[in-house]
Amino acid sequence: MQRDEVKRKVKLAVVAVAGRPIRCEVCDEVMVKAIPIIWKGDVKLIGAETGLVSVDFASMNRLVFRHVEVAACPARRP
Amino acid sequence: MPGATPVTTLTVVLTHVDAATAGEQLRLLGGIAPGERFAVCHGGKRADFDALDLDAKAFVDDPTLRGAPRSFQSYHLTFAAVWDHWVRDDPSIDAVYVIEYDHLVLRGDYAQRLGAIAAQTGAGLLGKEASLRTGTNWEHYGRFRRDPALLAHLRRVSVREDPTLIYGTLGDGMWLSRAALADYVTVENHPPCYGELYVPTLVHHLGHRIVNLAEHSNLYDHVRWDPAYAPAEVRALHAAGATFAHPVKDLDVWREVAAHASPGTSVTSGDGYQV
Ligand SMILES: [Zn+2]
Repeated sequence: MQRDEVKRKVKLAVVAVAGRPIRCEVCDEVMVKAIPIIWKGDVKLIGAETGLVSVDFASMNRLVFRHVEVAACPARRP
Repeated sequence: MPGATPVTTLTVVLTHVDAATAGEQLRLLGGIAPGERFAVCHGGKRADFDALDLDAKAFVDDPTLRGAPRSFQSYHLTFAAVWDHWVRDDPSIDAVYVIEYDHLVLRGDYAQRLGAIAAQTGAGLLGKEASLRTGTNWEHYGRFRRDPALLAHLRRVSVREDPTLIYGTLGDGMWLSRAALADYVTVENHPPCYGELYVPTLVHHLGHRIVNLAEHSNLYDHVRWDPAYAPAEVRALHAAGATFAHPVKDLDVWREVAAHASPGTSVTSGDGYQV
């Protein structure tokens, strides 16, 4: 197994255990599990890459997320 | 689809496969949708293109199509070929529908269904989850959000208030209005970019509406990037009246669908399939 693949699998295993659910603000479903850290001036959400999500500020210190894909969001499906 | 204005669509199959397979797939599509017009853009070996027994064919020698998957694949040469070969001099064509070689049509009325949604929404481009990707974690948005060449290009050509907005869609199954394609092919000096981002982004900035099919229909419920659909899944989708399946690699199931084609009507179970 390649080194990157090992790293990816370890990361996913850690996220599965220690990650916190991130919910869609529209449908309230859990989209991904992630571990937030502040690193070199950025906020990283380790694990967020497992889903396709959009982000926005809902207040001065609160980020909210939603499904990008309509087909994945029960509240927006026709 | 009562009341829908008929739309003349040219369905363009993008392929790289051998001549015998590409020719058979076109014949099968023609059998499934006998009322539709098809053409092939071949991006594979020149010898396969030359051996392809079909009038409506164009060779597209685009080096970006041979690059690493999901890197810088572009549609510029393909769209230019489609425009030059079939659309420019044929005002009867209202739209082009661009599908990959493993995109299986299951219903003969697919083009009228797409055309009806386009008419209802005023779409310039219809696509699978075609939508604004600015402010998302889509990997290609991350790659190009600050790309100087792309942003400078969009500032030059955009008719929109915000020339930095980025859109995305699945590359397979893009429907473009004639007007959107006409505007696209007049643009020169495209920056290196990725087609699933660049096409909807440019079409938006040229003033056309990007429409996500998922907001208006279930037509693309069984169109996905991967994995490929198994033959049993395809049979079940066809029997249930689904419109498309992608990807479908198994040619035998294409033959089965064509043999059971029932253009324009929903195929119900019990039509001979072992579902
Ligand atoms: Zn949602």
